Amino acid sequence: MTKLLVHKTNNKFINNIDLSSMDFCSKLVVDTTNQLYKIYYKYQFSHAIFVASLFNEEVNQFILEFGEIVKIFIYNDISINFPYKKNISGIIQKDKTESKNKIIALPKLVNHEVFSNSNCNRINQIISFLDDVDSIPENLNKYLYPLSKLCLKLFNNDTIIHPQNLGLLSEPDKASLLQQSDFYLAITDYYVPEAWACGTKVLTIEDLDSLKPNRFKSSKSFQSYANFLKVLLSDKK
Amino acid sequence: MIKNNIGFLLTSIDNTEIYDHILKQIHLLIDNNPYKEIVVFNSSCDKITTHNVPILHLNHAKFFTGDLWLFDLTSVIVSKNFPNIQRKILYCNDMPWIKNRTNYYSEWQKIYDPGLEFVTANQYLYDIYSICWKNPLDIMEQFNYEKIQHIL
Repeated sequence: MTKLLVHKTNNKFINNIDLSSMDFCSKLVVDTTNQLYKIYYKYQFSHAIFVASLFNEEVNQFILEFGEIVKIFIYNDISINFPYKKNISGIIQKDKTESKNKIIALPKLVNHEVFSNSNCNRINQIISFLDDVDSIPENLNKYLYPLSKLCLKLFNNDTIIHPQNLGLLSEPDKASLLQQSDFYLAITDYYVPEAWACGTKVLTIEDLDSLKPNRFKSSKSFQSYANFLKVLLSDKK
Repeated sequence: MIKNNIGFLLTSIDNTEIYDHILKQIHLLIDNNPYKEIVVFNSSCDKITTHNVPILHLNHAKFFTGDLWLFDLTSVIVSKNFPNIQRKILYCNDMPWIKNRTNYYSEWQKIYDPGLEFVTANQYLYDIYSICWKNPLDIMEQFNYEKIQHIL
């Protein structure tokens, strides 16, 4: 069976891999700092996903030494250019629309094990996840206190200081909030697939006056993380 | 007149005017409600003059029966499993989630559970607590015994 090592960090892609059950491989999602070689000799993984923002000398050295034996993928969360690509099987990044040489465009994925429509009672509130933004968009300010008393709650960005920003969320917390809320405000489309999967109406900032979805009217279905990894790991070098 | 006994959970009483004012108001509340048990629970008190208000150690709060007024997050957390409290009222004069932005929302949800009532120190906090948690019972700009009687 395929043995997969995944660099543990708090981002959507890695969190959802961690939470997905995969019968085609055995996965180990772990912080590898100062123990990557130890993990390799103990666990003998055949595939690895390293996260670009966690790169250090140890990971670089490991890729140079074991890139021929272990199929190594990089999740390029900080969009850097890698000088050596020979030993890397693929660079997964979300900001490419088409796959090029060794660059694997990350499609929109949903973890259906976590994000599903539970048909529980919903509260008339609007929630938004600020994972993918650096600051509150200017056109949103008129819907926030003190300019508005709209029941809009913001989450998951500790750099944004606003009284309606209510703290961090794990992926199951996000699912639970989406299942309990009538509306999800999509500042970017980062969590739109998950909101659809939970049966939550998706609004843009422009829809906040009418509370009727315009841009994200009809939901689509998306590939699961498990499926994406199954295809990724089964690809020949 | 108030319906239930009232406890005030002031984890520490500093030797400042704010606490002097709170104790004075509790004293007036006791004078106005002589047949109710009104008591302060505390674990560290720096004040010498406490206006003759009964002060018990925090340990005794656990089995207190009545309404409990809370003033900070510590007291909310400490009183979480008190079995005989009829109503818990948090006097809000700040928004702790802004200062502790790396905390998880689930932790805040546990602290601000639906059983906890709020009284806010101003209109701004009243609106924010209404949007983020639930409608506060009232606004009480300064700790005032007449307002407490009115709220309860």
